[in-house]
Amino acid sequence: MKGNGVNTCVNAWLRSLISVILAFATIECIIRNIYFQKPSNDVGFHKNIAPNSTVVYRLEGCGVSYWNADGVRSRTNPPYRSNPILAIGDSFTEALQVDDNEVYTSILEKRLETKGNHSPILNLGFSGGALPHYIANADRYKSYFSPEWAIIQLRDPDLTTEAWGKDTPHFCKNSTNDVIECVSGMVANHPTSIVFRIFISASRLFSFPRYAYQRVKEFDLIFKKEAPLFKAGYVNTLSAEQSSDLSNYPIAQEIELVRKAYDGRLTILYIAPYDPKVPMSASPMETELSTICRRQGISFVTTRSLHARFIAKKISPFGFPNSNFNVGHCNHEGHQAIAELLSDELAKVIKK
Amino acid sequence: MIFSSPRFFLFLATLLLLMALLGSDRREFKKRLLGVASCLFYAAWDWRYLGLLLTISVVDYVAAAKISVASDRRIRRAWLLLSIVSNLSILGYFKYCNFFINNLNGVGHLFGWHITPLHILLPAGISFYTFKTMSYTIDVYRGGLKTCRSWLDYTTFITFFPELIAGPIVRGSVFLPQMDREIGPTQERMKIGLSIFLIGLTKKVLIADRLAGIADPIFNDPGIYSALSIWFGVFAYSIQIYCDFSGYSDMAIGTAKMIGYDLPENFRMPYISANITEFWRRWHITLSSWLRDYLYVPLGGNRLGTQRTYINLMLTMLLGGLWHGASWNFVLWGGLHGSALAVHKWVLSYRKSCRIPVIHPIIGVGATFLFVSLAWVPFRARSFGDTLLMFKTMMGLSNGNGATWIPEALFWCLPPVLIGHLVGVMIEKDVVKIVNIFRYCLNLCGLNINNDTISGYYVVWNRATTLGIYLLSLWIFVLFFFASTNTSPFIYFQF
Repeated sequence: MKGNGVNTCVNAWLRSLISVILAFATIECIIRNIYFQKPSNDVGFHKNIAPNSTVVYRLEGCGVSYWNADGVRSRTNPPYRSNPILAIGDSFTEALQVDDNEVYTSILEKRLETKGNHSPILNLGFSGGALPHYIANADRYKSYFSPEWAIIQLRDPDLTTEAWGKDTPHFCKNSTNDVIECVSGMVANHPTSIVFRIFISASRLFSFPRYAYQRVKEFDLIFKKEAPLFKAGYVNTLSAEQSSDLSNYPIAQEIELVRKAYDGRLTILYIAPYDPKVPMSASPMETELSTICRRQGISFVTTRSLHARFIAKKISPFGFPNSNFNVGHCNHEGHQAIAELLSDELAKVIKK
Repeated sequence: MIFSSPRFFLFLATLLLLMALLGSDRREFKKRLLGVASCLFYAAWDWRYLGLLLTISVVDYVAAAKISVASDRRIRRAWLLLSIVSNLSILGYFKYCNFFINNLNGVGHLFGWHITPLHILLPAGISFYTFKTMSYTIDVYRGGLKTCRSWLDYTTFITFFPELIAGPIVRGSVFLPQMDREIGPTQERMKIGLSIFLIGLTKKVLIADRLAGIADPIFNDPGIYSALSIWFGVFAYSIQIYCDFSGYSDMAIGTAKMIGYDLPENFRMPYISANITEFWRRWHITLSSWLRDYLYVPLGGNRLGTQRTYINLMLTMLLGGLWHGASWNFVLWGGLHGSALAVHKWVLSYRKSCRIPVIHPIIGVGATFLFVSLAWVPFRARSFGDTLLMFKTMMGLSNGNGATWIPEALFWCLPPVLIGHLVGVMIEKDVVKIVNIFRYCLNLCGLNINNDTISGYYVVWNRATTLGIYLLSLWIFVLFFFASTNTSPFIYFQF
């Protein structure tokens, strides 16, 4: 009798365990369809995504993207038929939120083809990128790709707050405190992170403890400012105080460094914030950047010039139906407009 | 310490563990422990107002005790008046003082005088606990309730943390008889309590918080959106406020069940109401019944003629609106509901003589939902100007220059609410075939429909089945991974 009781108890526990494991497997399947990217274990051109992999991202927008053998987002695989144009930027260029045929680099490539320029456009965007990263990586990009031209996509924080941090490549002032330098070098993954990434490649469930930890943090509002994992439409905007301190940042010197790093063969693409109430009024950063680029002879385009179109169409270049209106990353309309803007500019400057 | 935060889980787990460790023969000690825990819970919001809460409990406890022993009607009245005046004065000072100052300043502007508004921090849950204490003294005065034996018991009732901040508004007549119970967690209580809590948590973090991401930007800046987007925002808010508030009530009821008390039902599928009167029987039941019993009926109710009935209805709803917040927007919301209730009453009374046709229930449900949703506009809008702008845009009367945003989350948040309501209707109407099928499915998952006389219908965990554990685990994982991360405080905390 006692033996039967023990057996029943063991059976009940076993059944419960199997049920929980099955639930785990189900949630794994669901999550893989919502968010899946194979992480990179080496310091490649993309620090987060493994070469030859497909990323599924449906947390904000709905995008499936292919990253080629070089770990860059491109319609073509190496070897490239001619010197490529590099699109360098942060998550706005990386654009996991839209499909491969909707991202501005892909549209731009097609548009340039119709104008007789057959250079492949390689998307080197990565989430968290800022101007010092692009300068620090310039030599590596140039020696590997021998690019014909570079597009440097910037937003306000890329030149201010995110450019002067300490954990990643960043700007600093020299001993005389007058000339700035870029502290270069990619940050290698920590050994524990590499081990973790190997496990995570096998299944997202291995990230459960990390998810758990992060979720608890989010729920408790302890780390309010940290970008949460499932927070669609999250955007790291500058505070009013920080943006008013623009004069504290040596923007002209920062731009000079990037100009030198890419031998002057670059176009700066500024992603302007879009306010439907005052769509055409330029931000202080935008005005300053435009002036500096003109002075230094750098090709410069701003998405501000497209805002009239968005007003007319009653849409926003940012945000998705599954996130928020006018918040977060560029949607396909935004990418389409950026591609049109760049194709006109590149057609002019590359000819020169 | 909101119910969906890990700190609350830790707090609750510690309390339940301590109660379990105390065993079954230390009832009084467990009640004192609960009282202390409730005070700690309140102090976690703002310890400075704990004194205010305890003072109110002393005043009302003494007033009720004096009422019960006094034989002279005038003395009884005087003590009742003291209780009501002190409660309303506290509520008036903390909640409405600046509202009146600002309105006076509006008038004073014409004559060149100005009163500086006071720096007052609104104590959390003040509207709820003042109503609760007032109902106690009024019930004792009316002779419908015996006084509480000890102040400590009374304080445990007043400070009972699951419903302290945002209701349900529990009356002494419901709660105090339960004070003699043996409290503390048992396997049965935990199964029922956790099931109800989980339902509430799902409503809050999976639906309400997600819909807040749609409603908030639209209500915060309505000028940039098109009519279609504003309609979506309004419907999103309708569902959000229901899931948020009823989710909170469920969590409160579940928590109380785990401790060993039953709290009253606060929502009974309000959006299936076929008319506005029915809506108020299903929405925030504890408030609407409070307003009925302590305001509408004493005003005369429907006993003083037709016109007076309409006036009483309007007054009750205007004050009910003002109870929600010190703003003309809330008064407008109350006025809209008051008017609708009066019109419905008029239609009912004149239906026969004027041959007004009976509306099909489905049309009635649609029309009631539409009216209630529109009435949420002044309730949620930031200002009177925004309210007007939203109404104008929705009716196509504005310039129409806004952008169209079709929020996806609304379309997958609607089905669970709709299905929940439909199943609820089937159970309520006792549609045998469908209820039997539903019961059979629930049974396969180890679930059962629990019909509690105080707390209403709930689907609760009954026994462990393989399918049930699988679905429960999946449910918890889904909650964990897909809960909205914009963890916002419950809407009704501000009232």
